[in-house]
Amino acid sequence: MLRQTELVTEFKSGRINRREFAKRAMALGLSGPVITSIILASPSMATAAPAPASSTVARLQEGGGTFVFGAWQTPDTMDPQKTGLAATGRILANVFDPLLWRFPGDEKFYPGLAESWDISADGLTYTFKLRQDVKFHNGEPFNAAAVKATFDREADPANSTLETLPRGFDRADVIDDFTVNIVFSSPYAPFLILLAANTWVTLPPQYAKDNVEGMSLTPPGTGPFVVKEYVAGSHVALERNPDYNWAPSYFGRQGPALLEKIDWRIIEESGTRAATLEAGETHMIEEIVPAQFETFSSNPDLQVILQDAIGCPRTVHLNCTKAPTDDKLVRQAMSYAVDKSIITDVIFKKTVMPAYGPLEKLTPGYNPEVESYYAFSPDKANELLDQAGWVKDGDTRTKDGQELKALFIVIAKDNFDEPAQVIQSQFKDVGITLELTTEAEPTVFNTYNRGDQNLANIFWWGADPESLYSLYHSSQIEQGFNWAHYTNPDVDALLEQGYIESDDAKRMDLYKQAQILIMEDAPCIPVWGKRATLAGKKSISGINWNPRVYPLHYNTTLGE
Amino acid sequence: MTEYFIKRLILAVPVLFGVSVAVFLMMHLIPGDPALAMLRGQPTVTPADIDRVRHQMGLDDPLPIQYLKYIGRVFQGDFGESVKAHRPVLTMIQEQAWPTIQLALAAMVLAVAIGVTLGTISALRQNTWVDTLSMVLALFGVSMPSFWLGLILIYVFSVRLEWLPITGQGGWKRLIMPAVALGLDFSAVTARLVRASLLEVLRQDYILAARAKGLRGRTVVTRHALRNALISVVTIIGLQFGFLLSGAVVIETVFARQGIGRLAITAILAKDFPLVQGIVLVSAVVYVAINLLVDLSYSFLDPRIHYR
Repeated sequence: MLRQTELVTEFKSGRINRREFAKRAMALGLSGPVITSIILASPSMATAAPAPASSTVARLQEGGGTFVFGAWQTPDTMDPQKTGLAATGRILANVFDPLLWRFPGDEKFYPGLAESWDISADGLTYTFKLRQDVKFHNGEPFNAAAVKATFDREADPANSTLETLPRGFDRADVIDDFTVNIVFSSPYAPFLILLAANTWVTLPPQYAKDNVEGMSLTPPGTGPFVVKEYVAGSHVALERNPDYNWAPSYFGRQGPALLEKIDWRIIEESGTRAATLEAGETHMIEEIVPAQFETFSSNPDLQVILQDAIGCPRTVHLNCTKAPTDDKLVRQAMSYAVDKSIITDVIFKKTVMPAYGPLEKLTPGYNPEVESYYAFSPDKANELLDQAGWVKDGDTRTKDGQELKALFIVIAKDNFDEPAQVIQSQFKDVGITLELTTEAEPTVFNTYNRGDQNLANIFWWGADPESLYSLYHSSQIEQGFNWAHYTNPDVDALLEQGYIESDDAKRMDLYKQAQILIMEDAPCIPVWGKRATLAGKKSISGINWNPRVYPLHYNTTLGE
Repeated sequence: MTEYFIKRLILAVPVLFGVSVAVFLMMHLIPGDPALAMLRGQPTVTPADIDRVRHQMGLDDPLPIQYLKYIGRVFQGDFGESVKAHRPVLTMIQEQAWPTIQLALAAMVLAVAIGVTLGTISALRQNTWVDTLSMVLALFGVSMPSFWLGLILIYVFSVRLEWLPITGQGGWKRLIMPAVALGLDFSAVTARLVRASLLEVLRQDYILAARAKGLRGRTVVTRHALRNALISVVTIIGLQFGFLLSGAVVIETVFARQGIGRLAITAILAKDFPLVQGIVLVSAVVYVAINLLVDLSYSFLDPRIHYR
């Protein structure tokens, strides 16, 4: 029984793929239907890395090769503390190691640049014991002083960093060469998870100080790949770090990466990106559109990888301070009126799954109870609207001489135009007239914070359930991302407590409660879950994912 | 003529000044807080963070002060620093300039070659099926969006036939599809213009005189007729250059080529004020310079035109 459970855990964490799992499961005596149901229940269709035998590793390391990757967006700057883009983050995740690692679907922390860590009883001091054998790509040693210098750099406004310091951060103290204390003035429970998501990666102190331009072009990290060249708008050239010897145990082996080079080509136009894959100019591309998904899936030489994201799913925020969405009954009716399967199956051709709660399914602390809320039911929607006093009048509803109308300001170029139209027609079926307009970023953020809209669309990439704070805490109205203008003191208290609760199980419980309260108040309609999408040559394997759903290429091989 | 040249040069200054003010105002009067947009990826954002970023971007000063500070630096050759990349704007533009120049020149040469050829043939064979066919081709050329044409070319020549590489720059193979996609509608315009000009010129008395003198048809057309018809073409080149630059934005994105166009798009979407201003200013200078050259070239094409 124990071996079967271990096997299932290994499969769910992505370390063995479906075929391997099925083979070994059969050997262990699991029946066919059970195996199939476990495979189907697995949240992602990611092709995971089988741990290669050492002889395979030797053979593969001879292979190497240059992996040509078609990216969809150009980095703004390569400096980890100054970039605001996930596009840059994806590259840097292969260049900079975190102190500790964590992987989607796996609840464990794996030692990285830190061999071990301790949290003081009051939750205010984190002590990290660092590895002693790590070097930066430019030869500088990795040590406690480097970690301290990293946080100091961010704290100094003269450096114009974009990254924000952890909440309640006070200072970093060097205890000895390889022991560093991160001290907080108030507890910050998400700290370890966010560290594992490549936030606050350690920078080489001397280089960061002396070479500001170099940091924005070819920053030296400690990761399996070195940035050799960055030409804005064109490409980033990564080369294998021959000294790399501190991979986390999760990857199943040690030593340098398998790929010799990665040629990260920037091709913004999705049609062109797809063409380069078909013509063989790239080995793999990201951000494929649903129409391309069908073409690629039916191509025997190609594979499609869909990886579920963490954070908050694609959601509609309902403005709780503006009529008619200020009425909870109306909001609940709207939630019942939406048939998400039309959006996921027809518009996105089943490349995404419906979302049911304010958090993405793979987020730590996700409460599966949210899935029982607001299943599609026009009858219930109609019932609630009747209850709210909106009388049916042909195609619309009226109350006190007013028509039931709502305004949805859709963010332009955010992939929400068609889903918004579907929602509009589904609302019409129950008598709600939805007006649609679009507005571009970033001006739309101002509009949303002013509260001109009834409906807004939002999503959030995050590694920790504390993401809920940015979207649903009352302090984030008018200047943050609480576009639902939602205030619930109980939710506020839970989210605030979530920052300081040091017991992990208790902390997740707080967020689970918050999710239920939020669903009860219905300030949001979760629609579909985000996914990172990759399409590439079938022979490519070994891609892992970090908590921000950035692909990690330590184990990637071209297989040619 | 030097007087004329200097006069035009002086007149260029208010044009450039107006451009810089217009761009500056446009970017600043659009509502929206770029600081908030830049902070969107961070785990927690506080009002203090937003203020800090606004201060970093120099958005604290009143508008006129911001503008004066900017113009003062421009005259010293400092076009400011990109807010996103933290690198000098002028350097970033210089790095990306050559591929765009290559593309624009290639597109122009292609367009003029095709346009003049088609236009001449049409004019000489006026009202025959050759004429009609050429003009219909010209119509297609003008109607096809360059974006769409680019993708079609990629599909046919790279994916299916595998003759040409798709992305990047360097070498004629990477230049040919983008140049065609960019230059085709310009070639169509040129064709129609050459046809009309040539038809008019061919009716002139001096053409009749040349034929009467016994000159061969080809000499008549090339040495006498075309040269006069080309004045209008040259004018159009100067004016079309602006459209070529804006078309380059689309083509560079479709073919993932480096260039000013792509740089501009990224800068605009990121609300990277200094970079956008720098690109527009540089483009305006180039545009003014090209049109000045066009004006000067008239004296070579038509000695009757004197400048006072």
